[in-house]
Formats: sequence, C-alpha cells, structure tokens
Amino acid sequence: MPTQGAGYFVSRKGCFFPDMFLYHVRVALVNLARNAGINMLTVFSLAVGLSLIALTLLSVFSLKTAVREWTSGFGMVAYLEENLPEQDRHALSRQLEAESEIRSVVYVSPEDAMDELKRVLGDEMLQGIEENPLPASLKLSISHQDLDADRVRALAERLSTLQGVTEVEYGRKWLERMASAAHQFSLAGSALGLSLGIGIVFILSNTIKILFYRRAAEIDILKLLGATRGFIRAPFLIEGVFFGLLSGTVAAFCTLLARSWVVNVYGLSLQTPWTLSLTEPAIVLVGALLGLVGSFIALGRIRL
Amino acid sequence: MITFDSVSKTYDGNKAINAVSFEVGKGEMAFLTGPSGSGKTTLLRLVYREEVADHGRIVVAGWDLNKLDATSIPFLRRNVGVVFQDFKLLPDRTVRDNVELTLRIQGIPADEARERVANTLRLVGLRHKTDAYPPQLSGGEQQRVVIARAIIGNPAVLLADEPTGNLDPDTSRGIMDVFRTVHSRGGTILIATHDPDLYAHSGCRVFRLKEGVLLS
Repeated sequence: MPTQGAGYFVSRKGCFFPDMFLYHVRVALVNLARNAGINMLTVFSLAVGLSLIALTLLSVFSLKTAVREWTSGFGMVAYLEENLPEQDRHALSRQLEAESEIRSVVYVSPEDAMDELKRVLGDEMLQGIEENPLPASLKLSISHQDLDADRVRALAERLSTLQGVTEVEYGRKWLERMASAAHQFSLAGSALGLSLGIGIVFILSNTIKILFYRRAAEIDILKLLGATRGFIRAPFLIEGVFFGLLSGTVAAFCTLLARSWVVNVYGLSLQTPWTLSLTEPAIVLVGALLGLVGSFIALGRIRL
Repeated sequence: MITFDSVSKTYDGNKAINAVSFEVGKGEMAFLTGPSGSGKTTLLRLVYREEVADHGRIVVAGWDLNKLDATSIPFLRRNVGVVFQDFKLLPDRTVRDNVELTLRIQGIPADEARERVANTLRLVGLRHKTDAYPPQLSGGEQQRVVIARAIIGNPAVLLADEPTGNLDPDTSRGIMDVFRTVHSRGGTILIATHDPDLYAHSGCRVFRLKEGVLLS
C-alpha cells in the first residue's frame, strides 16, 4: 500500500465538492478576465450566431402559423349520388362527422348550389338552363392540424369510396404548393439553424483550445503537482459555459429588441409553439449548452 | 522510501542513468551530487515519473513505478514534493495562490487550505509576502515559495533540484535550514546539488553520480 504523506504537517480532510466547484469557477473567471478584450470579441461573434438561430426559428414558426391561418377556410366537397334517399344522406353526414380530420359537415342541396352559382356568375349567364344540372353535395371543413397535403389526399380518396359519394373535390394543387413552400422554408430554416449551431460549437471549441494551449506552462505545473485530468479540465469547461451564457445573454437581448421592433414597427405577430416570453431564457440556456458541448469537444481532442 | 534497482535511462543512445541502484530510507535526508550533466536531474525526474526508466525497478513511497498506469501518476506526485531548479511558479498568481495550489489539487477545502498556507509560509519565513507576486520576489524568496508549495501537501518524499543553485551563501543557509526543519519533522528528503558546502558537514549520506553511473 503506497504511503500517503509523511504527516509532518496538519492532518488533511477529504474533498468538499461545492468548495472545489467554487474554486474552479473563481479560476475560470480570473482567466476570462485576464484576456477580457479578446474574450469579448468571441462572445459577440457567438451572440450574433445565437441571435440568427433564434430569429430564424421565430420566422419559421411564424410563417407556419401564418400558413395555417391562411388555410383555415380550407375545405372539400363530396358530391352525392342523384336521388340519394334523405335517410342515407343523414347517415353519410353522421359518418363523416365522426371522422377526426373533419371539423364540420354542411349539406348543400342542388337548389342551394344553383343559388350560389347565380350569385357568383349572375342570373344572365344562367338564363336558358331549365333543369338544374348541379348535384347535391356535402361541404366539409378540415381541421387545421390535419392540413397536410398527403393526409388530405388520403382522406379524399377514402371519402370517394363511401357509398352515396360520387366524387370528392378539393384544392389539391393549392394545398400542395402551400405545404411545399412551408416545408421548404422549414428545411431551409433548420439547415441554417443547424449550420449556425455547428459554427458556434466550432468557434467555442477552437477558443477553448487556444486558451488551453496559451496556458500550457501552467498546465505542466499543475500536472507536476499531481493534478488529475478532471482538475485541469474543469476551469476550461466552466469557461466554455461562461462564454455560452454571456453570448446567450447578449443574443437574448438582441432577439428581444428585434422581436419588439417587428411587432411595433411592422405590426407583425410572431407565433411559436412555446410561450413567446420563454424565447430569451431559452437562448441563454442554449448558449450555455453549446458552450459546454464546445468545451467538451475541445478538451476531448487534447491529450493530457 | 525511494528504491532504485539497476535503473537505466537512455536519450538518443546516450545513457543518462546507467544501472543505478540505491535506497533512501523513511525520514532520511540524503544528497545526490555530481558535475553538471552527470544525470542528477534525470534521476529526480524518474522519481516523480516525469521520465520513465528503460530498465530496472523504481519504488517510491510504496508505488512501484513500473506498474503505475497513467491515471495513478497524479496520486504518486501528490506524495512527492519537488523543489524545481527553475522554480515553476505561476507568475500571475500571488504567493498564497501558488502555495495553495498543491492543496486545492488534493481537494483540501478553502478554510483548511488558508490555515495551512499561513503556517507553511511562516515556516519558510515568507508570511509577510503572502500577497506578493513571484516577479516581485528575490531569487531566495521565490525558492522559499517553491519549498512551501512542495511541503504543504505533506508529501512522503521531498526532492530538491539544485535548491541553492543561484543563491548567495546566506540565502543558501536559510534554505537549508528550512530543509532541516522539514527533516526534523520526519520528512524524507533527497537533494541534488553540486555544491559541496551543502552536504560537507551535514552528516547525511551522499550519492555521487558521474556520467550516469553511481560511484558511491
């Protein structure tokens, strides 16, 4: 069993984790303060990246919300067989109302359809038509959540096979174009967000590596005094988190300003799946997380 | 406490240490001497595992260095205090922070560390320089800070590489007094020096190295 000290001084107590953590935090803060100028430049670069990620996400979600709102009046029409008994029509209505994707079902008789056509085209255009050629139909409105082009197509195909239904019509091309535009915008936003996220981690990782190599002499001394890898790495991990927190805070402030500007000056509303006021705290947290990841990557590549 | 058994170390074909065997017992103070380039520093570096022996067996404070894996090296070094020839102090940290470093590495809480730093600085006669930075100190004072840092962790073994190398005779005597105090408290000390005045009347064993070979 190796000897544990000669004992010619005061006896030693065990490790005290919060105390050690505070020690590393102090070392990290002192190190950051030593190169405050260069470190602030890094913080601002990262803040720009984080702000862009936040604004991209806000734009993507706002656009998606806008698309949903524009398509809220979307519906489809199920044309009915001629002379379909009223009893069968009621049964069909009930069956359609039971479908989860369908919000409401309204019966449009041939007479109502003709009145609507007259209203749109004018009486003169339809003069001479003695017999009403229009079929009875059911006007269906689709719930917002299910306005996915593929799902709507599948629903239309299913409905057209129901007994009493001759044909189902809906704005397929329009819906597909809208869905495609929203999807592409989402993809572009995600790709941009991901690229910026990777860029931030890359910048942070390189910054931590530079800080590490700049303190090579100090690290050699720590090793000679018996420091473990964890002890040597801890301040760098904390520095990475501080970089993330600081840049996250700056980015949160910028995002808040941009958000207020868009709302106040252009009167646009930003909508997100989360509570909007959580955006800024989330940016700070994401910054800290990216800082930790960047430090881990940097230190993982350095041999001690 | 320190055992070398037929230890050799070669650099680029030159034998820096050649089949060296010796022992330093627990609580003993011994000297390692020889001209510049005789292998004194290399031998000390082998003790705290900064170098790895090519042949032979080294045991330090119960640690068989041949069987030591990389993760155990820090724990060996916590038991070997080293007074480096070039000090290896952190110039941008105060004397207190430099000395305290050894304890923080060992996980000693702040309040206990503060008390031990004060005691150790008093022992080496630098209590009044606690808040000074190394560049503000003389060579002798810096050497005392290094000694304080080396002994504060209660190491089983204390190594000193030319501890009085660049110091005047009075300062050198002061430094040796510190070593004698540590020795009187039970410390095992191996001092590498080429200054005969340090060991001439010490009554301690002297190991003489020449071109990597132990003469006596």
